[in-house]
Amino acid sequence: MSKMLLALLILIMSFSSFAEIELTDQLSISGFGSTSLTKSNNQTAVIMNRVITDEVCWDCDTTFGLQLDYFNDAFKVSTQLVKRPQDKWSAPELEWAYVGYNVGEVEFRAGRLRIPIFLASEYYYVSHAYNYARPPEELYNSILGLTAYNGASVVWNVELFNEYQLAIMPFIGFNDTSLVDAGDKLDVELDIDSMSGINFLLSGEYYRWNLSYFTADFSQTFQFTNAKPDVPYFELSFLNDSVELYSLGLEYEFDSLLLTAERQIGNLRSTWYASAAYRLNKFVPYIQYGENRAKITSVSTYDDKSGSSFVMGLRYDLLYNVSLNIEWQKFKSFGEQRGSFVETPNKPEADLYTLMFNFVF
Amino acid sequence: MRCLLFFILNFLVSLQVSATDLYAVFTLSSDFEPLTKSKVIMLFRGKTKYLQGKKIELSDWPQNNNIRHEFYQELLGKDLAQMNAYWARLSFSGKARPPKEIDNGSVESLVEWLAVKRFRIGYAPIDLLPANANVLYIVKKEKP
Repeated sequence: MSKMLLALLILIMSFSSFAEIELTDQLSISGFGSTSLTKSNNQTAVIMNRVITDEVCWDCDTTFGLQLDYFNDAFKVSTQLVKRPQDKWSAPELEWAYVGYNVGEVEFRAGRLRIPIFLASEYYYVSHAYNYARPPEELYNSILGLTAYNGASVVWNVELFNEYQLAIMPFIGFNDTSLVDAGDKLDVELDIDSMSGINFLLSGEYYRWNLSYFTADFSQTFQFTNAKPDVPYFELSFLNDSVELYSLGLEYEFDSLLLTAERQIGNLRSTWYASAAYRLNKFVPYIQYGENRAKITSVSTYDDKSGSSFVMGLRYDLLYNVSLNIEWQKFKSFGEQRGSFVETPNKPEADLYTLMFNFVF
Repeated sequence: MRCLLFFILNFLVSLQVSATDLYAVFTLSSDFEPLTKSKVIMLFRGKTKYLQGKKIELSDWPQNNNIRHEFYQELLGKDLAQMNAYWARLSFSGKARPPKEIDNGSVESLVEWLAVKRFRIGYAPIDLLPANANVLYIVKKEKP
């Protein structure tokens, strides 16, 4: 199926730019996608939902999304269907489907929505929109692998001192179930009972500050398949858990230099990353370092995810709407925990090499 | 002689000023007051959808048009690939709709689109502005 995406990529390259395709004045369609050639040097897979091992993988990162928007003055309907890295092409995920209504500078939304916690949370699957191949693993996979919720939000846009823009977005979510791919032998089913939070996004000419609070009550079931030779399937359930976190993210542009840092503190984990990228014509060399420190939880002695990674990469803009990433990422797990591996590895380090194509239309 | 020198100097300065005025951000309605550079940057980076309390719509020139390339380079210091990535970020997070790309590279098409709604904003080379344009901001070449 990666061949299908490559064919799509060639088609997309024939478009001159990212410009939504207007079916009518009020109806438009747009899309995005990524595909990669990637390989690590560790038998134990890294990065949940992508599950990259020491075998060359053509479709561990494959993502394709289509977005349909309908605008009618203050009224808006939007849907986004995404074949995420963990999905089969035949079973994409409805990442959002909502109706929105504007009253002055306040927008009300209801339906399936993207969780707005970190700087890139709402465009998590759109690799063309950020410099690195994947969002920083330590931070963006720290909220149980969740990216969307069923519920409602309000966005209040406030202009400050005629120069700054502040968007305040409280949100609330209801029952939802999702499945996290943690390798061949393990899936984790998450049942969200309720969630809520608030996001503040302050924008200036060349910077963004993002501040969030998020809390959710959930149950999770670990589903093991062929984990032991004589046990084809068993599961472990942990009921009535909760996650609570605060996050702060900053992004600053100084001419060609882009600096980004985010920090998350919660009851399960404490994570952060910092990155720097410098634009040289069509090339953007970048580096990034991230850490995840797990805390003692009711699920296990530790939540098990302490680790770090260092990324060094180069982005190249092939066209206005097509980019290429070449990236090396060094993962380390701390104290015999699993870090960014999907299970505790025999060897606590991995070098991950990636060549990724991204496009939008 | 001193008068002649003064005249020549004034003439050269006036030439330099006119040569550095490149583009005008404008609308056809009289609802908006002139904008600061900061506000224009916020608008064309999609960081605000509202202007003086009104929800606005932006227009853009076709992708392969040099006007578009030079406008973003002079106003924001960004090339088209960077602008595409910005708008992808905004569009696929549901935060903003990309500027409407006018059908062909002509001021006539732009003016026709602007005339449909009061809160529509566009940009064009200064020497191509229509007579009824309400100029909100002049983009100048910073390093002549």
